[in-house]
Amino acid sequence: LSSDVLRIQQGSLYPALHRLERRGLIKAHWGTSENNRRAKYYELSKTGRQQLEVETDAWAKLTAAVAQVLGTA
Amino acid sequence: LDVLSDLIFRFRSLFRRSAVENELDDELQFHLEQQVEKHVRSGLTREEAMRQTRLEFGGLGHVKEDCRESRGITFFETTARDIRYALRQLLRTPAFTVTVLLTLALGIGANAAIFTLVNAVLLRKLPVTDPTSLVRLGDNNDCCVGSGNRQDGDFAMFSTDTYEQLKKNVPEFEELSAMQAGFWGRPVIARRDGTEARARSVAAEFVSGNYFRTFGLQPRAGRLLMDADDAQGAPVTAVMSYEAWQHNYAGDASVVGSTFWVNTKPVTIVGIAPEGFYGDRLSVTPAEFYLPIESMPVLANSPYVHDPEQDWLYIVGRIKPGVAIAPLQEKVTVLLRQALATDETFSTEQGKTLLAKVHVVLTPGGAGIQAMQEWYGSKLHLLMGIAGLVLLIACANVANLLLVRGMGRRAEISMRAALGAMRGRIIRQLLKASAWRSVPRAKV
Repeated sequence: LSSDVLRIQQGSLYPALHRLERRGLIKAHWGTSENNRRAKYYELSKTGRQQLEVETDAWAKLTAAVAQVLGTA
Repeated sequence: LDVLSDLIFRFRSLFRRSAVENELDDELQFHLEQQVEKHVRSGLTREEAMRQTRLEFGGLGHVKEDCRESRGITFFETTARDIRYALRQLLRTPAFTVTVLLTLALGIGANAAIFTLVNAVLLRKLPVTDPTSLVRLGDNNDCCVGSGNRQDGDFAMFSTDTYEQLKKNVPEFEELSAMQAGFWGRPVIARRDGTEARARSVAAEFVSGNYFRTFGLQPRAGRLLMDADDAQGAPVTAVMSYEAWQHNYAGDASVVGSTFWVNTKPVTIVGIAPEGFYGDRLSVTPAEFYLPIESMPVLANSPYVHDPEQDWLYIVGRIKPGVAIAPLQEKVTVLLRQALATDETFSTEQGKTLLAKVHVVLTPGGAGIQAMQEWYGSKLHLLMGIAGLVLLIACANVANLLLVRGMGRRAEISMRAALGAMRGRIIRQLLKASAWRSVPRAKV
């Protein structure tokens, strides 16, 4: 997804998912995968979506600001 | 809503632990299998695919632990685990546990016993209505008629005459009552009329007619003394203490109204004092009978009751709400000097200088006449201090024992540290072990 620029071990995904689930930002449910295995599906909840927008916004502002600083430097 | 989902999540993690664990296993397993399949499809051997997957995924145990931590209940879980561990440790070394428990039980037991005593003697108030508004005139425990005057003029004992004058002239007191200062030194002989029982020597206290009213007490049976009882020539009446009534007459209701022979004179028992009232002061021999002051010349043949020069009464009063103590103390002192001025003792040259020094200090009367409290107070405090030291020594002993045991556990602990136990975790575990040791202790 990040074209291999960010290398994070795949296992780190799960603690993060569980934390998000606890905070109610994502919802999880158990379903069946295409090869008929029990699998856990995650989706953004309503508050999660809002939070995502807020954070994305903040991130955009921050990176823009940093870029501006670096650009003018 | 967020808080709620958070709570539900945590509760589920806490109380349905195995289900949550299984789900975690399933979830991670699924991920790993998917990855392996992917690698196999891209041409790796199954073995190589599994290796690659594990590499990409990171340590499985580590991930699981992180997931558990993200549930937000690690604290409870580790606590529960540490507690179980600590209990196992204690059970494994019963001799040590028992020694520690006994040592501390001894120390704490001694302290508790002493404190109970101190509490009973020093801290308890009289079982009376609104003890805070009770004020005693005087701050020393001079006792007994004929003991002479103190050179510093600090008065706590008064003559009947002075009492009457103060009662009349200090309206700041709602009630002002007087009681015999040294009743325990002058027992009476009492016998119930119409019985074969032997006459007994018992403590009796002569009190003013408003004595019980001042303390705001209600009779257990019959009635308490009234002003009319405390009048010259009135038929002699008495109130019996609840304790005496229970012990000697088994709470017999017919005691009220019956006649007793007190020092060979007939006395009618008009009522029983309330339960728990052991008199106005702590005493080894609490009064069994409360008799009116005016009956004293008749019963005890005491000439000093109406002698204005003889001080023999303590005075306790109930002040009206809002009365300030300091001006009241001034006023009482002035009145006392006036009352004493006519005395022969204070008419001499020497007496006059003493009269100038005469004063009364008002003290809280809610705990009664504090004579015994003060006599035993310092000794009891010393005792309490000693008991405290015993506890301290007990603690030091236990600390030593723990230290010795800690040395023995060094190998174990360094082993655990080497195996990757976190420092904080080990310390927490040890702390919890000692915390657990204190639980049965606290019960003791």
